[in-house]
Amino acid sequence: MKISVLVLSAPFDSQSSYTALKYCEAALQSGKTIHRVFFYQSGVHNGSAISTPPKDEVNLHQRWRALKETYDLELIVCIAAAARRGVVDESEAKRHGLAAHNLGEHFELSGLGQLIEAQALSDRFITFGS
Amino acid sequence: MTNKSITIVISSAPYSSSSFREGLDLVLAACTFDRDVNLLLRDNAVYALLPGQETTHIDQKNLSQIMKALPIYGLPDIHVCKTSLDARGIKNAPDLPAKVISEQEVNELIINSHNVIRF
Repeated sequence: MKISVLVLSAPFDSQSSYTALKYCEAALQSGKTIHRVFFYQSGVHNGSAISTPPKDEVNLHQRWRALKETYDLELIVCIAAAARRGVVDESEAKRHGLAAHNLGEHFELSGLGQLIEAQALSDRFITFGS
Repeated sequence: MTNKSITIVISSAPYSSSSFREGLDLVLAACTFDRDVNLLLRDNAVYALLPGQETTHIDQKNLSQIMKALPIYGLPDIHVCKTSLDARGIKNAPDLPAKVISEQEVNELIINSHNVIRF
């Protein structure tokens, strides 16, 4: 059973991305396969390595990265939605002449085709957020 | 790749948030990758059918122009919920490839889709 997940909301602004993370953690811990987590709309902010919540609050970005370090799943961020919202990797920053880049390790920028493919290849496709 | 159908439902108003536009971008991506895709407009998204949208005044791209091009991308019909149109006093837009459908047809469209994503 292949599961893919779509995350549309940013950390902190909405509880949805936290719920998405908890869902993924639970599914993976119980032996399920998560093929791809795709971050679209404000969900791209989950990919920012410089998000800095207070030390006693959850750091979703770090939690996603920790998940990737333990399990085999893809964390894909929509490149167009991310660029609009100021989430870029080193390559995009260079291409646009930007002062900095912030996409975290284990996250990858890609196009909506990866979302379409995830939907086509997965037995279950779940959306978190709006 | 097995052809699993996907219905994208847009219930957000055009222009006031990014949701309509980003839902439409996903429809275009699905068409580009030759997916079996449907687009349904309901609730405040039906305002996108209103004619005479002068979006340069708000520095935005004209979404009805993008929707007019959908048949070229391989999507012949935009499904529009009749209940949502009537509740807002909007008549169908003759220059858009819109297909007005009843609540029952909306339910059937969603039930018969393999995946549904709402914007």
